[in-house]
Amino acid sequence: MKTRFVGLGEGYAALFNAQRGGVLDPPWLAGRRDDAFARLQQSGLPTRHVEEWKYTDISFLAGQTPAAPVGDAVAVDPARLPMWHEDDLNIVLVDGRLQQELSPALESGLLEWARLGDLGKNPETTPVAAHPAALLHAAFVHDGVLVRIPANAQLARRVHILLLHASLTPHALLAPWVAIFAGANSQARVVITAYSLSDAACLHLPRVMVSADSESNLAISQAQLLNTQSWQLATSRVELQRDAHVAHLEAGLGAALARHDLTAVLLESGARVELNGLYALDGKRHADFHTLIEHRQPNCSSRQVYKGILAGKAAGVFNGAVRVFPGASGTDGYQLNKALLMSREAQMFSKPELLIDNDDVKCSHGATIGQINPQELFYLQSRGIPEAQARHMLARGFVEDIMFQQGDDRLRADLDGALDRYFAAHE
Amino acid sequence: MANKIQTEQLQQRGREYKYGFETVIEQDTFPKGLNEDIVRAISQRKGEPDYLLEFRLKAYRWWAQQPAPTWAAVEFPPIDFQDIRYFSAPKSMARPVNEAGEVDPILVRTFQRLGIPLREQERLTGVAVDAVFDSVSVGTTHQKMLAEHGIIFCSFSEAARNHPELVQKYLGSVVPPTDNFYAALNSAVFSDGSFVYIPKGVKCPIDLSTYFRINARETGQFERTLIIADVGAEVSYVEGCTAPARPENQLHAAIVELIALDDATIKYSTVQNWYGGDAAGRGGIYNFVVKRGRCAGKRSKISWTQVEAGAAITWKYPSVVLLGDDSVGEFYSVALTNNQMQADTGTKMIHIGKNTRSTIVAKGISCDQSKNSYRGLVRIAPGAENARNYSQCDSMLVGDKAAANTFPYLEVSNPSAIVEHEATTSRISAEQLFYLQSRGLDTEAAVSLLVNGFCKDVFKTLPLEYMVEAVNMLELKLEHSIG
Repeated sequence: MKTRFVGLGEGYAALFNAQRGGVLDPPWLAGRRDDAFARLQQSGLPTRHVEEWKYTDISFLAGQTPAAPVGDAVAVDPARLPMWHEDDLNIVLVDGRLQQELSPALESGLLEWARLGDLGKNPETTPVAAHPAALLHAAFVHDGVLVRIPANAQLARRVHILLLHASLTPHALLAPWVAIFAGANSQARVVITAYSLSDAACLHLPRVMVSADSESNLAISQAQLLNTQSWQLATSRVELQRDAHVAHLEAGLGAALARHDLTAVLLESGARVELNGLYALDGKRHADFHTLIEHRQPNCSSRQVYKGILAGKAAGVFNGAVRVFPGASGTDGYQLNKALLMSREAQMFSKPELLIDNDDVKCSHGATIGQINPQELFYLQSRGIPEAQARHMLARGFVEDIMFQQGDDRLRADLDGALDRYFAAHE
Repeated sequence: MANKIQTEQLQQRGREYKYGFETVIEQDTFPKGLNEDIVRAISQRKGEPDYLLEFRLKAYRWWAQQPAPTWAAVEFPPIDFQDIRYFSAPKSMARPVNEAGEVDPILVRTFQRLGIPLREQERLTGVAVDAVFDSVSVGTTHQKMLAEHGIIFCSFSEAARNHPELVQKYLGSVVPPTDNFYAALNSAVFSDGSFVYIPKGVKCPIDLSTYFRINARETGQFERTLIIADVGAEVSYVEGCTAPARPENQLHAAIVELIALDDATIKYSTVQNWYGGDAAGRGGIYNFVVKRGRCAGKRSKISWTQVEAGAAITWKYPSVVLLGDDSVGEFYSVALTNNQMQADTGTKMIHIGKNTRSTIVAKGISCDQSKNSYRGLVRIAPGAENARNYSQCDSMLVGDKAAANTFPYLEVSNPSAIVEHEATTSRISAEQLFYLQSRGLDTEAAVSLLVNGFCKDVFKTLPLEYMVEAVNMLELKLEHSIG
């Protein structure tokens, strides 16, 4: 028989117990934590024999000894962070914990906010999923922040939430929680950046919950810039009410292994969601993007474009599902996944899925995997551009349109900078 | 109200499954259940050489250790494998059938009703037929003429006796007995099927075909087809199948293995019309089939065309392993489900050789409360330089309780590959329907025209007679599905 799950090593129980005594959880959070850890101990971590994890092996994590991020951390000087902009509404979490002194936005009066541990009830609308990343997060979450954009507010300034990894402790387990609630008819831009200041490997388990109330208009971006030793298992859930619009962009540019399970739920009619993603991988890095869009009500639309560049021995995974529920007439769903293989040993696994239970729909998806077009390369070379540079230009052009989707020039410049570093490493 | 009843009656009649009759014939049937003794008994009954018995036992022992797979997007109660009879043959088959086709007249009439003439002089179409009735082949036509070309076309049992060197060399070489649960089950208990060998450089002058008929109750049909196209050979092969309409489910677990050597071409077409159960979802065949071809030689080509219009549950993926350089794999499929039928079908294209190419065109139509899933794998191995794949999967939904899923898997490990996948899901366009109706076509004719247009890319790859049959079959199934 194939081994489908491996049991969690004792290190997890030791960390869980140590942490359980050290935090003062409100009752709902304590119960949720205990329940999640019990479930996790029962299930263990999946191997590649579990369909959902067919292309991504996280079973090795079960044998590790995760550590609490204590003591030795790199000092945080936000002004020196590559994506820091002074006039953003900045909120900083370091090693999973909210740093109020580094988060002037909280005192700006433009946002309502609460620390996770101070919440009287669970901000999530659904129970913790039977998913290893969701369970790990729920069991080990340290801290988090809930940001509420008041109804009818039009935030002129970006909200930037930084999830910093500063601990020098190897295998530090970091589980931050970010919840963003946009009130009715509000409008805002939120960027969530995961960034490593430390060179040590960490296990990063962020959870992002977004709720867009009716007629709100949100641009949410998630940039993952962890160091290339670290592992990330992220889960995100975006919920949209009537006529809400969420444009979500994610950029996967760091980590040795990164998996993101992103679910967008169109809860009421007229909601629109866009999911865009770009990733650039090299070395032996592995990135896995799992998206699920649930069309639960009539006349919603979703659009999804993910593009990636794979060099070295990197492997990319895209598993995007569009699910249309029986009552969701008038659904319009579109999904595209494109990958560019830059080297002999790079690999791409793509699995775009459509699950349709209603006949009044218009859904399509496409996927392409290929290499740089030799004619385009020849053209650039014939104009005097050296081959390496020409390849980088073409590769950058391949993913760059994703960055324009968000209409956020600041974010685009920041991501361009990250891509510069990516290409520079290949010269 | 009266009108509604009338419509319902019409629907009943419209959807009547014309192959749903049962032939009353004395059958020699094994007791229910599966164990090593049954496996030995099947082998003994067929007078098989020892290597085949060993092959069967090995498969059985592996199978007995395995849990039944459950990953497909289909739902059915667990199958009790001890409640099935694994062998059933007409008693008259105990007597040897002579070359002149002295088959039991009851069987001849049965196949006549199915439109399959066993007596060659009555045949009009240019097709040679091997007719399989439950667990045995009851007759193969045109053998003499084919033999003049050096072509072997016979039942599997005959091949095992007369051509052991070929059978031994190729049996299980594409689908190993331990490939998967149902492949192992088939390898243990397979009873008959067709065997084709096309020698070097020969283009088979007529289409070859097998017609599978399930008749006996409580039995399963487990046939095996093995087709070998030697260097430069070419063959077009067609299979058809039907079963009586019964309120209980019956299992059909077959294996088809194709081997194409250098420059050989095999075209394999299926028109599957097993009984699919009634509107309440009672009865019908469970069609769990493993079909795989190996493009072993350079510049070889294997092309699958399937029209899946029957069976309560279809679970199959005709695949091609593209081993030889410059080999070509094709998969053209129309899967139509109505009532409460479920289909999880698609293909696998495994690119191993250089410059290999594959094309996938899959059309799914789900009506009523049925569920239709496309599941396909395109794998480009690290050494498959310049591999090329194009896949297109379109689903059409007819009725708001129907479901359509698409699960493509693309695994690319070579940068010189170009892999493209496209899929769409929608219902019949209201504008197109309106246009046709405004030109005087009634709803049904308009729907039928649109569906045929939707499936055209697949139908045109079928041999002519089968194309006509497929179109008729689809029209019959679609009747009254549009409300």
